Parts: sequence; C-alpha cells; structure tokens
Amino acid sequence: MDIISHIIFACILNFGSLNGWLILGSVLPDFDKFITYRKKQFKGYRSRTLFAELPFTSILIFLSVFINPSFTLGLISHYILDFISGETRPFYPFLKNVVDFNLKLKQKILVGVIIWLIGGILVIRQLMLS
Amino acid sequence: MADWRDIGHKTIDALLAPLENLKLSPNRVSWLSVVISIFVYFSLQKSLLLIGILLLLFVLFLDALDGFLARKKKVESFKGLVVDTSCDRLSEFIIFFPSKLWIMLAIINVYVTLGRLKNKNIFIIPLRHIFLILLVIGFVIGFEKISFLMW
Repeated sequence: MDIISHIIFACILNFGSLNGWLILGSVLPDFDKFITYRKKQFKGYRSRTLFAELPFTSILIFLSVFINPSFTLGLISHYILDFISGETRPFYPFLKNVVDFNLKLKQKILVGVIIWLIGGILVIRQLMLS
Repeated sequence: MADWRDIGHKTIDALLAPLENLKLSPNRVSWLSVVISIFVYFSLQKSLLLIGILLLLFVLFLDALDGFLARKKKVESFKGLVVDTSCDRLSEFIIFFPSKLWIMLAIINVYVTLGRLKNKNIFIIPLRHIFLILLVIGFVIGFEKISFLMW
C-alpha cells in the first residue's frame, strides 16, 4: 500500500488523531523501498526487505515499546495493512514462503477506498471538534 | 506433543462438523480473523469489554475454523500453515496493543512460531486464549483487580 494509506490507516487505529511518532511508525518499514527501488524490485513481495517482515519488524516493535506507544501502533498498523492487502513474506529471511490472499484488484481498491473514507470522516470530525 | 495436537484436531473437527460444507477457503478465514482482531482492538480501547470478549471468541473460533476447513477440504499444506500462523501473530499484536507485557509475549511467540514451522514438536503459546480468560476474569471481578497483568 502507498504511504498515505498507511498514515491514514494508522490514524484510524489511533481513533482519528495523528502525531509525529505515529506517522514515523507507519512509514518507517517502507524505507526499504529506497533500497529496492535502486534494484528495480519495488513491486510485490520482492520489494520487501528484512525490516519489512515479521521477524525484524518484531525487533523494531520491541524497541518502540520503550520509545512511544504511537510509534508501536504505527509499526503494527503498517504491517497489518501490507499483510491484508498485498503480498508479504511473513517469516523472511528465515522462511521464504509468500503470503498472498489473492485479493482481486476491485477488492484491493475497495479496501483502499474504505480506508480513505473512514480516515476522511475522522479527520473532518477532529477538525470540527477542535 | 503430536498426540495432543491430534486430540485437539479431532475435538475441533467433531465440534465444527456442521460447518464442513462452508464455501470459504481456509486462507480467507485466516484473513478474516486478522480483520476482526482490529475490531477487538477498537472494542478494548473503548472499554467495551463484553463486545471485545465476544469478538475475541469469534477470532479464536475463526482460528479453529481455518484449520478445520483445510483438513476437511484436504488442502492442508505448509504454505497454509505459514498463512495461519502469521495471521495468528498479527492478530496478537493488534489485540494486545498497548500492553507492553503482552506485546513482548507476542514478539516471543513470533520466534516460537518460526521454531514450530521448522520443528513440529514446538508448542506455540496460546496467548490469545490466555488473554481471553483474563478478560473474562476481569469482566467478572472487575478489571482494576487484574490491571497489573495488563501492563
């Protein structure tokens, strides 16, 4: 999923509020895109490097627990969104099995639309309350 | 260990027998369990304890259902096991947030799962089941009495 969708999904899980740590946690695992972009492997499961999968993301989550809870939530939200909407290799590099729920394009678009819709409603609600 | 697993599978198969003809793939059931786990998280965050407990029960039901369907449709595979276990681990992360203790236990379970995927005799800690029991106890006697277990 794209970075904006990750931020919106993290915002949804945080009940509509955003902060720097949440945004950082929700986009940090995608820093591997810089590496895979250079290798021209930035699509599908081949774009996913060490820190984008469970074993090493777990280490990041462990460290984040001592930093800021929003950072932890951002990291968890990032992986969940990638997992339910695309291809991942959950136990890479120890196991190379790919997990893909074979969502059709329409279903993936629907997931994205729902996330943006809910996110938009929450943002408007926050603006109205503040 | 394998005998206990067989007994468990047979018990689940007997209980879920009426759902044998369900037209859902085991992987879709696993996917659904992750999605429902998000709603468990929302319920617990909003202190809707009873709803959280019921949804968590549903998640654990789905967790049993995916294996049952895989056995009945004879589509058991190592890949399916990877899907099932990774869904379970993710479900744990989102349900247990923001409890530091339980997140750390979930992290340990990721590595225990890796061990299990390489060696069938390793036992994965049933964290969500234990968490559910604690939630029920908290609901009955008052959540503040067990809050130290939710650090």
